Amino acid sequence: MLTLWFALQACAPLQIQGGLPLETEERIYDLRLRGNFSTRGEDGLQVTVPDQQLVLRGRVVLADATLYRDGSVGTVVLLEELTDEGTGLVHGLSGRAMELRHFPSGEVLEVHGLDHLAGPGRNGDALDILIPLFSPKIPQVSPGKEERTLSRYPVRLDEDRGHQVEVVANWVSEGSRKRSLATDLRYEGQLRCSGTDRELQVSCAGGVAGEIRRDRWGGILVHDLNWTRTVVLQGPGGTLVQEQVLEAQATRWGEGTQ
Amino acid sequence: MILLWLSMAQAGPPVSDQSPQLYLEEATVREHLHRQLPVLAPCFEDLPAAPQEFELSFRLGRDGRAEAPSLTPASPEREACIAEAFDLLGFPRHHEDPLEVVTLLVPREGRLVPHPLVSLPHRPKSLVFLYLSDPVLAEQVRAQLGTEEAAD
Repeated sequence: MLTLWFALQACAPLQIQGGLPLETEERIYDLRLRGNFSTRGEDGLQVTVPDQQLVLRGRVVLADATLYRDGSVGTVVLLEELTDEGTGLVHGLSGRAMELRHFPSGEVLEVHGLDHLAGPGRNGDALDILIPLFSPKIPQVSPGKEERTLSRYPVRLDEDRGHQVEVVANWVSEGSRKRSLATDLRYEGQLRCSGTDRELQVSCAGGVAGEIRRDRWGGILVHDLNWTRTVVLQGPGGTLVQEQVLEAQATRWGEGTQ
Repeated sequence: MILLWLSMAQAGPPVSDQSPQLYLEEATVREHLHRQLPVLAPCFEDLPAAPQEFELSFRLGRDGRAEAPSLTPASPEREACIAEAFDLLGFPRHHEDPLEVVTLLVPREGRLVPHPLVSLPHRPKSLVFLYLSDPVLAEQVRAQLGTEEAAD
């Protein structure tokens, strides 16, 4: 009996004391992302920017690469293959990666490599919805009850461009599904951000809404996340305002239909 | 069995205070290049004693392989030699577009002296949180807002 117990332990996921199981194998997700962007100038800024639309589809690979001394985990998020469905071309974010240093609850401490996702042809900083998409801060919610969370994550590109995004959300649980033991969660809330970009003041505000289906171990099977936010950049030449509507969905390979 | 379980339970990601290397910085490329200079040295053995420097540019792929060497002053035979030697070189894998690396090679008495110059491409900065798919338009907007250009 003792031998059997040890054999079972050897097959179990690596545990962090007081936390959820740490999955050390790669998790592969299908990603769908749709964005609509409407831009205008204010306070004397004369710019003409046509409305823009982005439709991305592809594959994202998550791998826990680093276990930090404080118990947080560094998960590399590799945007392995992303196609811009508008142009049919490989998107500039393809093949790029960031590391989310987070606790098993999903609370993000740091994001490494985001500066390499930003820049012309990539715009990864405008797609920071990917951060909470793959690392949402999920509370313990009993069916029929509501829980409120405050989550913050940094969007730091370099010494001149640092921001913090804050999301306050109310969560409800839809309970477990009989056959798969998967649990469904829904949440809604507000988002805001503030920071600087060189001499520009940057702020944003908006709403978030999401649905998550998890497996019995707490792993995310499907996450739908919608953002509507207004980004404001104020500089010496005036104010630039961009309305952003983002819809993102991550579906884990082979398990999204449970 | 207990030892087996302990060894498996302790497997997994290493405990660290450092983030994994997603992208290469100049210092990392310099360190790896300088360590591997002896591999390139035979391509410069025929030089006369007079000091001479070569600017070497090459492409560094995501798989960590160096390719497409180009020398200034031009020297096709040496470039072919370097291209062959590149098969023996290895750099860390990374997630950047293929990097154009520029460095100086300084042959001295049958070996290559490490030179501190190793430069990687300029990475233009975008305006944070702003989605502008057209880089030209993004540059115009940045200029009108009054933000000074600054290279990474």
